[in-house]
Amino acid sequence: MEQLSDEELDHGAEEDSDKEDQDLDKMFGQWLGELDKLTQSLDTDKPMEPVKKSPLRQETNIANFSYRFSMYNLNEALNQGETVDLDALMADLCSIEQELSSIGSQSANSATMKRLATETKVAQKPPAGRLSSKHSSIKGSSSSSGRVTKPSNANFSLEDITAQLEKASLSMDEAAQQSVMEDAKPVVTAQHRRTASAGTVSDAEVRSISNSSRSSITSAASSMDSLDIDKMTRPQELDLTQQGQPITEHIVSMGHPIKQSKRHIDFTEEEAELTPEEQAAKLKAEKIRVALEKIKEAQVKKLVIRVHMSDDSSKTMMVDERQTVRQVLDNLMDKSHCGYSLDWSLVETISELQMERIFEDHENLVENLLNWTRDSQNKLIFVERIEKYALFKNPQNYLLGKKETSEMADRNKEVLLEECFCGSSVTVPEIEGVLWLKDDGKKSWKKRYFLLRASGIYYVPKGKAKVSRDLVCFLQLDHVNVYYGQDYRNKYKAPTDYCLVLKHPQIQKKSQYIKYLCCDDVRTLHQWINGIRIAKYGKQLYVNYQEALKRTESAYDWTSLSSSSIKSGSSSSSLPESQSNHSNQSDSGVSDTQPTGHVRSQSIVSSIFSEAWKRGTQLEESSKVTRRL
Amino acid sequence: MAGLKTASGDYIDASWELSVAVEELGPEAEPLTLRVTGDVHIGGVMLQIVDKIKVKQNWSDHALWWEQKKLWLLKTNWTLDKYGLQADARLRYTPQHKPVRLQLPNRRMIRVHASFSEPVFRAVAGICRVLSIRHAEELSLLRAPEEKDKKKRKGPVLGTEDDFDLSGVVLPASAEQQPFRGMPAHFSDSPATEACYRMLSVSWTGLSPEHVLKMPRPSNLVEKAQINSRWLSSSRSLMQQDVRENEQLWLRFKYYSFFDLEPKYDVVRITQLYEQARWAVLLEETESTEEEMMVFAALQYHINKLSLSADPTEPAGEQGMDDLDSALSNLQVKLEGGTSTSDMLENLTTIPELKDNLRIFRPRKLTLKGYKQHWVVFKETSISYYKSQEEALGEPVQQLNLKGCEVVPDVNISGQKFCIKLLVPSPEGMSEVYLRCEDEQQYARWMAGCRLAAKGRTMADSTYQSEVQNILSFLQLQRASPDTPAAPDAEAMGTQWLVSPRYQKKFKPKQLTPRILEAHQNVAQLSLTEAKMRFIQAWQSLPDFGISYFVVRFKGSRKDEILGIANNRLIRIDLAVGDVVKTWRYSNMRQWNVNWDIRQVAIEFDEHINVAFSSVSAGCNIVHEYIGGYIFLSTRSTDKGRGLDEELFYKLTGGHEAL
Repeated sequence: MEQLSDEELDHGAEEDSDKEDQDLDKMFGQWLGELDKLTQSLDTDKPMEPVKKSPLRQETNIANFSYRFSMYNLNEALNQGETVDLDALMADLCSIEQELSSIGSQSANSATMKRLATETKVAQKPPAGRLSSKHSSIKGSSSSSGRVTKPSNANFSLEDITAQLEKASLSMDEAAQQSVMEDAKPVVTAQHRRTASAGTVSDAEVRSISNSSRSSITSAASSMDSLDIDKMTRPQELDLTQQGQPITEHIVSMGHPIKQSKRHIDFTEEEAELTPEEQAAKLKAEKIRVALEKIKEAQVKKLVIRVHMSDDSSKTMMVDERQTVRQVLDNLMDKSHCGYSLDWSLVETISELQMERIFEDHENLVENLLNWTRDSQNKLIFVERIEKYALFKNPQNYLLGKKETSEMADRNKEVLLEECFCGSSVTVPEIEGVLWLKDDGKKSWKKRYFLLRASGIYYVPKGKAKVSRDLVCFLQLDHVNVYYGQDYRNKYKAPTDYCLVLKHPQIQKKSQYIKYLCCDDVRTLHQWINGIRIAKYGKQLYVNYQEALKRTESAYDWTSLSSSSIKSGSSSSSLPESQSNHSNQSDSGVSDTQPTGHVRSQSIVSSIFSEAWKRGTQLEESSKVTRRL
Repeated sequence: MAGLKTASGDYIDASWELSVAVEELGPEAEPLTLRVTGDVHIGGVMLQIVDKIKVKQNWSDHALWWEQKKLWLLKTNWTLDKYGLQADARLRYTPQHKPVRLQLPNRRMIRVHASFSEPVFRAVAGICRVLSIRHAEELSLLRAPEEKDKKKRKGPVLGTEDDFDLSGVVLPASAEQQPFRGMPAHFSDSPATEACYRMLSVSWTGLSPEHVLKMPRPSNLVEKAQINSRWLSSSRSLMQQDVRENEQLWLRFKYYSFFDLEPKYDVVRITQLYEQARWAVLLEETESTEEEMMVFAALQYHINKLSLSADPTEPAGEQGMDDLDSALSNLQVKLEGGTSTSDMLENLTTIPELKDNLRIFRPRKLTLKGYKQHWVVFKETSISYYKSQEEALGEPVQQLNLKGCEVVPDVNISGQKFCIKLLVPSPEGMSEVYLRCEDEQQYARWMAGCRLAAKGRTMADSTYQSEVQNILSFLQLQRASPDTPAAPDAEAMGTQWLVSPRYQKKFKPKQLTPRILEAHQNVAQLSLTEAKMRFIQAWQSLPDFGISYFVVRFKGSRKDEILGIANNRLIRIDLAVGDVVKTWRYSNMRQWNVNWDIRQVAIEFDEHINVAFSSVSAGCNIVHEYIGGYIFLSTRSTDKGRGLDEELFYKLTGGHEAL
């Protein structure tokens, strides 16, 4: 194959583009025909094989991308003797493949794409002898068209590309098998990296590809046949993504008037009046865009995680590094048929430190999970928590800095929320009061008067008045997250059960850099935690809430759950539709191991808090009654 | 008809003599005397005046002003009878628009023509149109404070420089202003007006610590309440409020509810708002903590630096070119410039590294070890250090990934100490590491790398070089000692003036600069407009922000208290201690009214809460207008229906004097 590409270099440079176009079109047609035959024959020969092996094979297509993934808490599952849903995982993997192949928007070329995809699968399966024979057949077909004497470089590059695809898929196949093997071992790998074939492309090949792509573009310009263009460029794009960054240059090298063409894209309405050149330029630009996107996509990291459900069961799923907590939650709600509620949350528990935190919807899940250590006992729990959005359901209890709860008309609540979150800056509620602060390294607690400001948490030094200029900064919030501490009365002799903890998310063990605060009652605790959330995240919190609200509202409107996940899923379009398709697939795999019908119960870990919360609200309610009297 | 006489010279009809003063005839000139009857229209009177003056000029802006009644006779179809005008009335025929000297929020003076006949609300709108400030309803005019002698004594005081003159500017008739050469068309008439636009849209950089020290600073709530007694009433005209031609007035943002700040259209508005915020912070009208002050100082420093080279005519937000475009053009440039493919590949893929002998110190409990020389390699976002360069191929002594770490400068220039303190998070906690560099250059390179790495970026990032420069220039700033000649640019000015006098006293420059430097690293990459917006936002999130204070006496209370009026609530504050006693929100407000006889404002809230107070420090009408104004502003809707319901404003703010 190396030789081929070299050869092609020798011939390639000074081709007549007009002739080439015809060559390309014909040859491509023939080539596709060949592929069809091949796939058909395969399917009839071994009907059982594709079914069984399909996940693996499809995964090999993903190998076109440098592909990394890792597992979390899988060992735990294995230790418990539960079956890991490898099938479900495979379904996940498949979906990624679909994602990749469905990028082309026109349905017409997606059909050809599939053919291409199957071709690589076929090619990868049989041993090497078969492989080469296929190549010769392609060559044969081109020679039969009578133009071998002047071989077009595009022809060669196409072969080249398929060869590379195969190479990549083979190596990935190996990798995948390895990973399966490794999965059997109870090892949690913090960050496996499997880069497949990214480095295997020689310089010469790269150049040849750029040559061919140039030729294909010129052919597009003259032939005006968009379908053909797509056929031509598609495999290249796949190839481009495979090679990662360096290719960007080549893409650009073929588009001379990039700026100009970009402008054309902006005026799509004028399409009808575009000259052929302009249209070609537009297509070029569009392709460059797609290719660039794919290059980005190729860097995507995946993580296999274990999510604990409220009923002590657990689920294994795959998340990619772009996914927000919201997207994962949507996925989980779809899968577990638990109904849609604002309160579904992903909770991180750090058992070693006895603390937990509800992930915010906009946070990136993978990023957070990567903070866990290798042998971490941390858990990720999927559970309903009223604390998550209580702030927005009863803003008057959090934003007004009042000591007592009160009722408020819905209209006023909206006004209040808008006032707080929709201005040009977010108003951090004025929360202040005496809290207990744990001494470093000791189990003793000291009282201090703390104040919350947008710039951080402050306290009033002894003997000073409560004026801004004398306040001492206790913590700035940029680098810390706020956690609920659990049962610190026992662990640290805390004065009450209502503790909050501030620490850098990366800290996982006892450290002097963790700050422990204790409140007198649950109400104060929640006010502080929500105040800190507002100071830290600002308007994003409100956006999260509104999106969650939209999500749940629309969920009730849709009869089909899966379709709703497509339509109403978060506005970011980074997750293609195939993602939710796969969620259906994997769902079937998962639900076997799951007791159907999730009870909406609180997990044990969280029960303390929700009970405390309930107690608090009951108290509040009773106090309300008394006040009315 | 009028003026028929009998033979004896007595008038036989109902006509009488009306005297009208005309300023154009000179101060000594006798008033004109007109013979009129009660049924003459105002328009007719004015015609007669013009006839009598016999001066050829444009009289279209002139109107009649009734001095005793303080009334403009603007309805030209009304008769004298209808106005109740009689022979004893003293009238002046005078222009409706007169020049005033206006002190802008940035404390610069400007001369503009303001309408003296329309309500101040509309006069301000007119001024803001000239200045290109949208949402004029948020601003209003104050009387300038009485000049005290002691301020005049020494040195230049801000606001006494030469005025910028915009009085000759003619606004285009169309409502929509077409920008011309990047500024509103009416500014591009002459170099003088262009300079004026620059003054309006670029914040002033020539500030010195003395300027701040000389400004009067309110030291307590009562003093903060003082300024609010000077607001002019929005529903009456300037003339009615005894404002004279060429009098000095202040233009300020009065209502702290800034609607739809849009960098694209609001260049002047954002700049002026920033200036008002900056002064509020520097003069401690809005109180801030030490940490907050450092952020404000860093932002000011940054804004000043950018302002020195800023071109106001450059439209803001151009940098917002979308990723793809810039990425592509970058690549294209690289391609065109590059010669061989392999070179480019290398440039794109290799990430710059730093390798140096540095001294490293790791503070641990109960150890007295000092700095130790190591071979340190900074690659991507990690720092690895080795015992020596020879061992660099083997295992490092330690490797630190700086992603998410805190980077604190620890610099003492006179002591030639250039340390970087790193707080690197790890599962076990934060590990503290000090890197000691030899000189500024080395320090700047490593510091910039650390900062980028903390944000998860590598030195391949395009901002690396500018970051290095930033650090170097800041060190330069620190080097500048008092004895160096004071150049007029911000660099040599030191950092003292960036903070309020209180902190100027508290910190030596040596201590202050590193603090500001530390805060600066978080804002160093902001554009000019972004930095101003950030400043405004940080100001807005101060607890004291947007509260206008009044000394009041609550009904049934014997002592003076403070009433704070904010955009969403009223706050009752203890005058002596400054604690909030009670808060009422407008959303719970049922109604409010003013008893003008006893000058008392009474407000009824939900659940039959009634509050009544009389204003001590300011006119009752000012308090009333403030509350009404905020309620009016809250009715603004987000859809771009441009028109404001002016009638509603007067209704809400004007009380019995309006309409």
